[in-house]
Amino acid sequence: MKAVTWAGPNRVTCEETPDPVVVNRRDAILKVTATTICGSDLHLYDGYVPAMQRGDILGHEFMGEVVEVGPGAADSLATGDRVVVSPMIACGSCFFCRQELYSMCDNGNPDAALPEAVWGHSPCGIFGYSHLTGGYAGSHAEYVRVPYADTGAVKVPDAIPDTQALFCSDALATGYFGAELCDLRGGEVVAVWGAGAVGLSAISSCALKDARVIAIDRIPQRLSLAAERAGATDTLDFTKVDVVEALKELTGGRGPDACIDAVGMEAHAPGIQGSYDRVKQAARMESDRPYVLREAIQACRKGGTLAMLGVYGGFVDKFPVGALMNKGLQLRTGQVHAQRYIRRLLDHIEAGELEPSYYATHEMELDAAQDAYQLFKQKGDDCLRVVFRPAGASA
Amino acid sequence: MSTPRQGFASRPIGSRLHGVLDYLTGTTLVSMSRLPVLRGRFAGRALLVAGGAHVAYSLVTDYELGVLRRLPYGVHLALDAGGAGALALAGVTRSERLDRFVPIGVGLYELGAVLLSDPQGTPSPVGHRAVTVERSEDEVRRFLDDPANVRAFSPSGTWKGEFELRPAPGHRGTEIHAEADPADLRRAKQLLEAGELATARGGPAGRRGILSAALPNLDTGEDGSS
Repeated sequence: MKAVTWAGPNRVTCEETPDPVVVNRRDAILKVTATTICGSDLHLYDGYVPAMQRGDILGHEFMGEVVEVGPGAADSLATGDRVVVSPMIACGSCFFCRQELYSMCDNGNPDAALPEAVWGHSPCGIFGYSHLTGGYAGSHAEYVRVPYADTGAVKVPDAIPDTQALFCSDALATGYFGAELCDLRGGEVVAVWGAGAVGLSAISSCALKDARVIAIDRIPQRLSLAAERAGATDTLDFTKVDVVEALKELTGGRGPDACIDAVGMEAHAPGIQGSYDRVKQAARMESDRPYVLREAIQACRKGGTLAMLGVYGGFVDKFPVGALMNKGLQLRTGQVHAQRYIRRLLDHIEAGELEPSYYATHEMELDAAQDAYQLFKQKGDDCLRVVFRPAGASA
Repeated sequence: MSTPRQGFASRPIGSRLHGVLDYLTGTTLVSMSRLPVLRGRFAGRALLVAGGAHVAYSLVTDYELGVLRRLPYGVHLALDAGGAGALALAGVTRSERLDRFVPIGVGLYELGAVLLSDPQGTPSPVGHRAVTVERSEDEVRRFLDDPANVRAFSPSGTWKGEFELRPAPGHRGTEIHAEADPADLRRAKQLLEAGELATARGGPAGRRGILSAALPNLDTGEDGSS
């Protein structure tokens, strides 16, 4: 089959690989009908995640058609089912999965010793996301093996097209998770850093919970989408305003009740602070650029909540722990527990309450993966998300 | 009982990483010896001999990256140290700057690598470990007492069969305490809770790079699958 593999920093290639096979009873094999490059894939592409190996198949946000099912998943799936899949590979039966904390699954990562050495404990496995999270083959391919398919693959109603269902896998689920982390009751002000697909989905999800949402980015097209499609009430271009001061002004001096970091380890920042982090990251003296975190901690109101959705991998410098403590902030974070949200999101889409299809600005062939990654990285041509259709466009 | 401190507190270079350094160092020294600035000089000849010898005895060392695996790892480290010392001393005897400082620099680098290398190679992972399983004490005991299960979760045979079970606080499963390889306990937990071993096998990959072979393969799922 054709698959997109990591070939080193800033290099991917589309090559022929063997087809995946069922290994365990709860496996399924999917013909991938739609898969997209996620912002967190850029951390792999850019070479900031150390446990990648040349030849690893990329991709974790996807949907497809079931072509083979192991006997342990046959009660919930059948050949021909159209399903959307959680990026998080979780067993569904450990202490964490029973509490619907799927991304913390104890059993999904066969390489658990690696993250245990780095992070103390291992998260779940993740498709196509380095050997820190299991070394699983990803979804930028014609076929993919889905372990624990009875837990991770969710059937999609016929009425929902691929362009909507696809993003329930990760972008929409992660944004929705961010809104849940903010514990919104209605009437709060939420600031969202990053208006990529995850940020836009966080904005939509907060708006769905009757929050007033302020979107922060530097790309005019994304700020327009935040206001016109996602429901942001205000937008801030961080290259033009002092974000902390602007947020104070927009909130009568109090600061947002909740702040969502939908950017992560490769945050852009103007000025000396941005250059400082870039140099330190390039020299590997810190693994992540925590600019958004610093700003969000500074901006958030006293006693407010900071939700970290953006991916971080290692260690950061100049983390304002004093502000975090003295302002009594709640820091809430995690990889998305997508299994918990996918059905709920499909319901929201069917009810017309969420509409993510506009994230898919570009559709490209697997053969053009290098161009696709580069386009997405450079955010050229108003690219928000590139979607691959390995099985051909169907819906 | 407590688990001995490991990792950064001990010598951080295990035998696998040492092997990677051996081949990188050996080939780099041989390449450096061909540089025009060193070619034909004492320093160039010294690097050629040191690099060639390094690769040669690495190939026959009994460690993960050895090919014939006849030379004990301890002897390999002694050769490293002896060679490093000889290289540095040879440099000290020369008066020309390049012939003096290049061998001294390379010798000190090699000595540093030896001092940071754990002489036990890759230390045994077996130690006092504990894991909590979402199963009753009876279920866990029956599972651990079944030889077929033991073969599945301890394919390398490191499970000694001695364990203590304790109820987890708040009726949240059962704690297994044992002198064990943590990988065995992880696999036992996977089989008890998920009914199968997590593995990335079955999912393909593209062409691997030459360094991939040197990386540890922790995924043993297929070995124990039933």
